[in-house]
Amino acid sequence: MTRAPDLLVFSLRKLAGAMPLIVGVTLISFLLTVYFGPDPTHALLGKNPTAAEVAQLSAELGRDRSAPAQYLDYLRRLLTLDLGHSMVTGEPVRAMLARTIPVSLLLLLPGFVLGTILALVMAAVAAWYRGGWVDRMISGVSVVGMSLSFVVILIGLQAVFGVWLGWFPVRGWNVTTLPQYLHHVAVPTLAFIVASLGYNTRFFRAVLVAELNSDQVRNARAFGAGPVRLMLVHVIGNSLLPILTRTLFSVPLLVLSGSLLIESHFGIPGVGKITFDAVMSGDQPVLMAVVGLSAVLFVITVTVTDLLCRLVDPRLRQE
Amino acid sequence: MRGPTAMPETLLRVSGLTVRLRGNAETALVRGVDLEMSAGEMLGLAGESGSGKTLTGLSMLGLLPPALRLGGTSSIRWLGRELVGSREREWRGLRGRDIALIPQHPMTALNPVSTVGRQLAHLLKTRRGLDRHSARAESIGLLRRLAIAEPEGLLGRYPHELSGGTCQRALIAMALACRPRLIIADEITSALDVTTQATILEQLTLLCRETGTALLLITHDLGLVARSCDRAAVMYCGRIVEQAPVEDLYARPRHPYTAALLAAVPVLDRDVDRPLGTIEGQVPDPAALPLGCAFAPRCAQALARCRTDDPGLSVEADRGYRCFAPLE
Repeated sequence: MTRAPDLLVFSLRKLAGAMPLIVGVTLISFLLTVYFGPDPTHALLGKNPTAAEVAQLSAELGRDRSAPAQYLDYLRRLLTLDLGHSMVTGEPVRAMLARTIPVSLLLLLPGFVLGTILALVMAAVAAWYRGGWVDRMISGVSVVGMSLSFVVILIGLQAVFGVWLGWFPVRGWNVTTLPQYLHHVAVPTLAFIVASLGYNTRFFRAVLVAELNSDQVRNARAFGAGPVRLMLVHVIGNSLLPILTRTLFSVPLLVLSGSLLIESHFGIPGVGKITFDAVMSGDQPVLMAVVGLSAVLFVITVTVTDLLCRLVDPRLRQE
Repeated sequence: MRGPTAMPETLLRVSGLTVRLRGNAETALVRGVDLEMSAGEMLGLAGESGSGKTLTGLSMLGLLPPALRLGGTSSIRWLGRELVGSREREWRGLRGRDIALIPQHPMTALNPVSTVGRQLAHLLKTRRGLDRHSARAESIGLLRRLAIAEPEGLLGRYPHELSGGTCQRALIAMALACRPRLIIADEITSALDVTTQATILEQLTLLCRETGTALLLITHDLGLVARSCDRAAVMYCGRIVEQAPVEDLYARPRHPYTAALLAAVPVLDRDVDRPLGTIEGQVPDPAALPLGCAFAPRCAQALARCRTDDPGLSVEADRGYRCFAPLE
């Protein structure tokens, strides 16, 4: 049994297979922002530049070269993380990301983890008592969570906890200590939990119910397995593929759209906020860095998911 | 100790067992089954699909599907203790401890994400209190007694890597690992090919006899019952129509249905040219059972009375049957 090298070879193969995806996504983002996008030279130079000034800046930005050369240059810079400078503030893009990504992670992680775990627990309870009043109640709550727009949830929670009760801040991110962090992260986390309970609980419940009705679960009961072992080992243990896949695949979406919405709504200086600002101001280097890196993040997510699935299900390990 | 001459202890006494559809008081799938099993006894429960034999077996473990319920007259006594109306916790104390079930579909009955060794070890640790080391040794011993050539290798395998016969042997080992007093074997060989069927059943009955475990063999094949059981009960439409020691039942069936079933058993090593018996007609819908004897519409011996009155139980020495016109 040579398991570790096996997994290494497998992940390298997966990553190699993902190269076309990275090329495709970066090519599209290059075409849209640089090739078809506005020429930033004039915006940067202000009014009445001389021809010499234009030529010099063009050369600095690399815009005097052919499109394929510019694209290859973009790929090279992505790979070496040499991401250039923001056109608006002049700050190195790498420094901007280093500053904002930790904020976004701190902001999103508690809600993501708690939301997923809570959804799984609620789904397990609903599945166990399927058809009963507990199941109907949980399903009812999750339909409500699913039907509410995320923005409505955000505004509602801000209104209740920020304005009405006054417990938590409505805007801003003034965090240096742990209590301050908890204070600021509470409302976004709640919002994530409500949203996650909505769309995850129903999905998890359906997966668990299907497994509960399986032959191996009935047989485990016949051998005297109690509810906890039945649920954890036999039901969840055999439902991990869809659960892992769905949960992990929501990570790239969460990091981009989740942080975009929450951060612009709460005025939190995370990666979503700088992306939003970059879109509004046409800040090409920032945009291209974010798009390129999210393509990479997606590929990594897919690979990690595949790896984990192979780890939890022996049937996938067969060649 | 259960000596050969001592009166065997009664393990299980089922009486008036009725299984109904929930929310439908009319339709009964099992209609008043009476059954008794003593320690170490081998009882074959035979019948066509839909005769209620599997439901009878599942009832004894409290494992009826949620859509079904026991009827009011049902009584299931384990060592004298009434089980009907027990809480789930009490049933759980019985399953995989006093009574073990060997299921019908070996390929899907094992946990797919766990190795055979881990599944066996879990039972040995929790039911018998063995530590890891002795659980492994015991697992290997059990599998070896089931004629597994290389038990050590099998312990590390996952169910999807195994054949149906090997899965079934692993399940039999799991049932034996619990050291139950009764094993319910539900159609355990129907998913296997004929040669495997014979050896697996032989090994199971041998091990049961060795350990003094009682065996309830649920099957549609009276031939299997003849080879391995002491007593046979024949079910038709949710009712036991005849029950007798195996030799008596085969030599002199009293119920016409038993006789018809026996005629339908293919004998491979002789009478190749003899046409196989078939039973005319179809098993009636349990929602629309005929008046009187349920077998009457398909019975060659049926009297006028068979179509109006329900035949009661006629008892004769150590056998019983439900028929107005028994065969001689």
